[in-house]
Amino acid sequence: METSLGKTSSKQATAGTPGFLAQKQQKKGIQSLISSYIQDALAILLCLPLLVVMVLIVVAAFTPNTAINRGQLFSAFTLENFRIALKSANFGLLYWNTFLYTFGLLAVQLVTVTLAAFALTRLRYRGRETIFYLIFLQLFLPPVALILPNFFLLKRLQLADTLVGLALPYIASATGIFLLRQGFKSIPPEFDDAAYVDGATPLQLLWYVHLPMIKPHLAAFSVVSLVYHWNEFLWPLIATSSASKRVLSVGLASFTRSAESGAEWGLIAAGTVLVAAPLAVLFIVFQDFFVRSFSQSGIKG
Amino acid sequence: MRAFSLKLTVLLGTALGSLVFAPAFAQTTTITFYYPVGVAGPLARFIETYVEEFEAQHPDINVETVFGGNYVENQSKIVAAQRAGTPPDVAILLSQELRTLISLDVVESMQPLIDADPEGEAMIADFFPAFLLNSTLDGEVWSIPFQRSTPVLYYNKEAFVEAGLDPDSPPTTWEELIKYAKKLTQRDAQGRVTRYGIAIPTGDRSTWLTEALVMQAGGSLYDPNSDGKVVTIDTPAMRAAMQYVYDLQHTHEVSPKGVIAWGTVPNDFAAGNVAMIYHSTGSLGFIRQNADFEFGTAFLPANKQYGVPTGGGNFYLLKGSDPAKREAVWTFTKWMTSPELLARWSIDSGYVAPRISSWELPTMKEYVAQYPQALTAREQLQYAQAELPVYALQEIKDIVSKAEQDIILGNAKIEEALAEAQRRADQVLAAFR
Amino acid sequence: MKLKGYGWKTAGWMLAPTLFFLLLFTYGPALYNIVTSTAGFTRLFSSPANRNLLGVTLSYMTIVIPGAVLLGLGSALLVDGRTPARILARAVLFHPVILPTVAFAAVWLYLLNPVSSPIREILEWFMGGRRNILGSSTTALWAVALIGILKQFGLYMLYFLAGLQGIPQELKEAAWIDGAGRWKTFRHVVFPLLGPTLFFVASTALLDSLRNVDHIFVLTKGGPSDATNILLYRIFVLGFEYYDIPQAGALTTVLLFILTLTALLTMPRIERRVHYYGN
Repeated sequence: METSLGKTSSKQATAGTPGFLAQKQQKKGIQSLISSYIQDALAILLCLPLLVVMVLIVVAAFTPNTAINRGQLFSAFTLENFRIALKSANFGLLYWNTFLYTFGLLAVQLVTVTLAAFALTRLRYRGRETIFYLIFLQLFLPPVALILPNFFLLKRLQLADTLVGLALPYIASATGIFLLRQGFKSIPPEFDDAAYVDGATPLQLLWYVHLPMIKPHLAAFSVVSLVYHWNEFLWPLIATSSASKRVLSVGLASFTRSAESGAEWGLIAAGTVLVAAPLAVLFIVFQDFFVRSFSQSGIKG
Repeated sequence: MRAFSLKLTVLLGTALGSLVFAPAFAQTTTITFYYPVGVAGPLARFIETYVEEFEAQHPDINVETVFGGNYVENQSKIVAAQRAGTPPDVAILLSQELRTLISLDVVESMQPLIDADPEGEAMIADFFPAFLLNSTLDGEVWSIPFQRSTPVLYYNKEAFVEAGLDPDSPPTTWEELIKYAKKLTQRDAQGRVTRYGIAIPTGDRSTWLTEALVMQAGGSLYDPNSDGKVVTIDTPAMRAAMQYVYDLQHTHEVSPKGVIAWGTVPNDFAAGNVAMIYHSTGSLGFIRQNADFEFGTAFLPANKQYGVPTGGGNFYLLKGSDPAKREAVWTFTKWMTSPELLARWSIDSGYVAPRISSWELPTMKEYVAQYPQALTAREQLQYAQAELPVYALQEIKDIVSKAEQDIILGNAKIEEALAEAQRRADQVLAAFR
Repeated sequence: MKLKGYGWKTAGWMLAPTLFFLLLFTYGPALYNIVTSTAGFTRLFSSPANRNLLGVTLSYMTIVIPGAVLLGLGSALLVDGRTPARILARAVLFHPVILPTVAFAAVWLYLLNPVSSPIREILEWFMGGRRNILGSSTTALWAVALIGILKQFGLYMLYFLAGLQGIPQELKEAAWIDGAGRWKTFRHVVFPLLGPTLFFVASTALLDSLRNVDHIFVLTKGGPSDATNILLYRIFVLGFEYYDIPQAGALTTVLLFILTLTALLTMPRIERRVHYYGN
């Protein structure tokens, strides 16, 4: 795995530029190396405040609440916060429900969103623009604003208090369609013509030609969908009720949302770490896939 | 007639229940129970544990528990479920929401169930009268007290000693409190405050402490003879209360400035950064665990008189729930509000056990001996009044608390802010007259 | 150029699932809401509590949208590349996105506490004295908006990073070699090609600024003195706390109207201006 930008960019530069330009490029080499270090320094500087916050959460999770209250953050180490957090909720079930909800929804979304975006960019028919606007408008009609009517609808469909019901309002995703549409638009139409000349069906064209090229967009959408639904609170709180259908965010709420007494910062931090950990691990793994998928996607001008 | 037949069913049910002893033959009744969590910490877990024990003792009753979030979210969830035609059978809701809940047509009176139980009357008589104030309407008991509280004064005894004050005689009047707070406030060389004398929470859209101040000034935030339809905001007592809160921040500079959040005040106290706070008895457990100094609790200081509102949640019976399950609902409610369980709940959480006989139990006596601070709230009950019991409760609370915040922040003069709030509250309540 | 005749027949089944759920869970409920909420309008406009609602919401959006978009773009440009420093910075800048909003907000409640904050010294230096940042009507909106930005901009950074990967390296290098400086390269080559991304991020940021209100519940509850009482929070209060479904519905209708109008006004214009490579 490559870790140095210098290597990557110089390789790309020599591959992509004629000889006389490469010569000129070398003169600028040292200059660009220095500016690369400056950029590194600026990047670190920019993230510093949030780095403090991040470290603070992790440290607080392992610090007794008494010490946190006195602002003594590095004074003592404890696992008590995690012990209480794990005792306060059935985390195994919470993880499993959240996993089913977010990944199940994502799987369905990826199919519907890809098909719809394909139909909106690569097929020609009357009314395409109208349908696009109709879908696009949903980007501006957040399901959060429609919680109550949606809940009544679920009740009528006998799907309230089910994970399927929880996911239904999100299956048509304008965000996803819009994101993928950008991907499809960046693919030159010549690819389609060539595929059709070879006798491919639209589905084959989508599967064999387009899909590999829109991987980064699919990855981006997956991140958005997972992150949003993993942490979603209001809708799961309203739409599900039995303990067997509870998701992480609602479980976490039982000890982060205090009303009558003081705030248990250590417990809140431990709960936050427990809820965010799977996503954090996933993101660290995903980030590499994410970045690689860009270089492999072959998006060209 | 209906009450009679209900009584009959209950009696028959109990008889049958005792006859059919073997669980194999017993028909299982499933009831749904919604509860909020009002206090931080793993309290939800305690409730789940109690319910499990109940189920183990009552194999014929299955309790489906639903954690509904905080008080507001829990109530929203219940109303939504009820509107959708699937109300829970029983739930813990704020005691002061009674009229609002009636106007929304979501609750039913508990009185028929109490009447049907031979022990019912004695049971109700065992509750502290102050805790029944918000449950009772026209002599009928609508809800059974469960997690109840009053606000108390927490004070840092070490800070008292440091400031040359007697740690065993906390302030008893507003004037005294100001005097003490001035002594307790510490500043560094640059004049920055390093320890505040007092903090009274004013945030979170709550009027609980405001009500306490108004009562102490000899007034009330509502007209008790108006059936919850008249609030009295623009009054001399309220003006005095607002002046007091304003002065603590701006004239005497013994309190943190601005709107003070409810949830972080116990932390400030436990950290030793504030020497005295007004807060719920429900925070006793938290402060006990987090303060590494000796602290005391006392009545909220008096102006013209002592006075606090009660607070917290009660068991309610939900309208539209299956009448056939009423017997199981009552068995469950009775078990959850038994003296033994209320004592346990009080020790686990810091809430005041609302039944008189709870305090006679050995466990409770032992607890009180160890933590005498827990007694203050019970003693203070003699001065307790009902908590704001009006229609459109949250809307009224928002109007009052906005006026209070405008005053504290200097956005409006006391008279103007209160007159405006009065006008707006009247407008809202006009719909109920 | 005309494509082969794959028209409605193919498009139909591909669009069917999306359209079905769109009608069932968005347009159906939205229309239902508009029809049933007419009774709430008189109260909506007569209630003094709603007076500053639009002003506060607009102020909030005016801080959050440009703030989050620019911070997202700026960080994307800075962390673009695979040096260890930038990979670390990327992860750190992104981490608030994966935290539950209520938890992230709770951290800030702790940090901004005027009495016991662990960063009190820094805050006092920064604010020029001790301030109750969340408890004062002049600073609360800024604080809430800033926390909203910090929670969300990492996602926009990711979008911009994706957009930057889509810009052919040769184009950037050609401009660079032609002697164009960093800024000029960005201004004349990179920025125009980021057009579609920028448009997408801007619309997402607009929507996010309206729909993400969880942190308000934790930090200010709309206060102090309604200073952070923004539209969707108010809808929640009206619907779920006052149980005034008609008024909540009426306000939802207003929200839907504003959103639709914004969508219809901005969308075709920006679409015309953006550069699609490949067309």
